[in-house]
Amino acid sequence: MKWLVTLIVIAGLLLAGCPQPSAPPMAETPEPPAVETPADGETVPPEQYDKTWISPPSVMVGNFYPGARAEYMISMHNGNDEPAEFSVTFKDPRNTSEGFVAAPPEAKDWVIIDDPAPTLAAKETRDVLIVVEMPEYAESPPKWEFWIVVKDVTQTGMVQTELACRCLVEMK
Amino acid sequence: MKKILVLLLAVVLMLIPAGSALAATSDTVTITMTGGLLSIDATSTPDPYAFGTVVQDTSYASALTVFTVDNDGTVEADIAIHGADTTSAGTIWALQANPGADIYALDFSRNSSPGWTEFTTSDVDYMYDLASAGTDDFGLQLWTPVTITDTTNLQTAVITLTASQSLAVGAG
Repeated sequence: MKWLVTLIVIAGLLLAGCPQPSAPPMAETPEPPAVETPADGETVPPEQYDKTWISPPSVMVGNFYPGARAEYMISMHNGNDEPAEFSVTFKDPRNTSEGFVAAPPEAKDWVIIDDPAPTLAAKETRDVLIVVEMPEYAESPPKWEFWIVVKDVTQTGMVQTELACRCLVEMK
Repeated sequence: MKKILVLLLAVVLMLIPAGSALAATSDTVTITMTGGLLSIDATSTPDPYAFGTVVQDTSYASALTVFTVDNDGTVEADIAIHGADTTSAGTIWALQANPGADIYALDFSRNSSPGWTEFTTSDVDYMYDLASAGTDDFGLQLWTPVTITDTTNLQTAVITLTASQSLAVGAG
């Protein structure tokens, strides 16, 4: 057995020391770095590097109850060539997902946005912490929804855009 | 050697997280994130678009292909639209459903389904299920105030498109 282990070690050392054939040097075009979103660690395709986006597009908080606390991250990416200031705000949903209703009015006070006005450098991706903290004696519908809206407030055009992450809360 | 193997096996077993196989307790809040990126872009041709010199109590309509919204994300998007009061160095115009004294109104129409829909400072549905890489054109119709106090200064109006992930939609 000792003989076998010794042989494997020697073979490994020999292989590591062998010069490997390498491709001739080429001029490299810098590629945008891969970006991981918090949703499932997926890598963002390079064509999205020049776009302003958020991820995940929706979040489900399940088994929630009065007195509970949930935390999650929303990633936002500044696709501009210049730094941009963003606003991150709570919003009542324009429409709700099937089976859900709009969050009760008090829910605005249950949602904490860690950084509601981040300034992102050109092409920067940043995570913003969202905390949902429901008071112990608060009441809510069994399934409710609110939106976290991200807007580049440095937009100057006549038509501007904002991106809403659907946040769906299902009570225990 | 057998002892070493047994010891290694024991160490490996200890490193496997014991909790991974356990069911969540009843008080465990779960968070599920949907993968993908939410991203839209809006442009006008020409950019910026201007209605030009206008007079009071009159309507002006752009072509239905002046404004374009693109889904740059990886998920389908529902889109809502809202406007705002104008900004101006002089007397501003308020945006309401019907024109009045220094009050203007705005309608939009999608090129794919012509028909003017009024909108105000609150979101109204623009469209559902804009596919990833999909695009949609629209135009605007301006109703100038019945009376205009300030006939000198430029009035600038901004409209905002809000995108959310397309899910099975329930009550609004």
